[in-house]
Amino acid sequence: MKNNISEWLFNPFKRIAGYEAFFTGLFISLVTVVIGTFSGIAFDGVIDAHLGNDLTILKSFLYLVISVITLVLVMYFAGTFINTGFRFIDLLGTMTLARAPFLIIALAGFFAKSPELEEMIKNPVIIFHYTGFMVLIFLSLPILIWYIVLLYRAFKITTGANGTKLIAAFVVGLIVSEVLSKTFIFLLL
Amino acid sequence: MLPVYCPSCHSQLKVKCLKCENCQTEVNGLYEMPALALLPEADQRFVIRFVLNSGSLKEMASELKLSYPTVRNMLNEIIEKLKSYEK
Repeated sequence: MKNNISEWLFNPFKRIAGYEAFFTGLFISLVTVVIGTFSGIAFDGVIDAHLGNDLTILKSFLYLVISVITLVLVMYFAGTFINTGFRFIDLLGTMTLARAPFLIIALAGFFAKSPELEEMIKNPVIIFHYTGFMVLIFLSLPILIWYIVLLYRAFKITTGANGTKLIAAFVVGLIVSEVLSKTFIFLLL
Repeated sequence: MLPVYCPSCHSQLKVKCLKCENCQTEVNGLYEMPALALLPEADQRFVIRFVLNSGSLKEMASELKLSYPTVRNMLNEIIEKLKSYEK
């Protein structure tokens, strides 16, 4: 039972991939986009979650599209260096589903109110008076780690590779996709 | 389950004797084990299910309640083992 929960939390791709993972991941991501828009959390990059102002559903949706497409294409390219015999739909599905933990950050956004920038410059300690904001900051780190673990497992299961090659391709792919997604978002939006 | 490794030194065993249960004839020699017999029991069961599913990984994934890439990776591991036995 404990193993089952741990497997579904950290390695769901053992049992779900392809179209099933894609549509499940897409549904969760769309819910995250809507909730994030209203709670003021912008997922503006492959591994980004920030408190954002003037968010609209369209803008949040475009962040999602740019992030997922950039991540999947870069990872597909990185994956072909270590193994050519894998299906694109498995990578797309598992990597889309890997974004599921962001839903928690989107929900936490409702409780987080950030101090004004001017206020923070004058008195940096004031940040500790904003409990919701502090909770969001401390919650973000484990969720980000959880998300990266899921991305790694998705890449590992989809490509079927292991060892140093797998780790190198994943790390390079993740960094490149993050830089590219931020660049595209900056240039296009 | 057919023993394939020596319980004493873990070397690969060979077939020394085969017997006909009908006429009690015994055939003695030193025969190599077939590659499939060298696979662990779970892998042998996988190969049998794979053949019975007409070699469809999708069917296998559905039967085992695992994802397609997981099943494909299991098959790849068996292929690697069989290749190592050939060497």
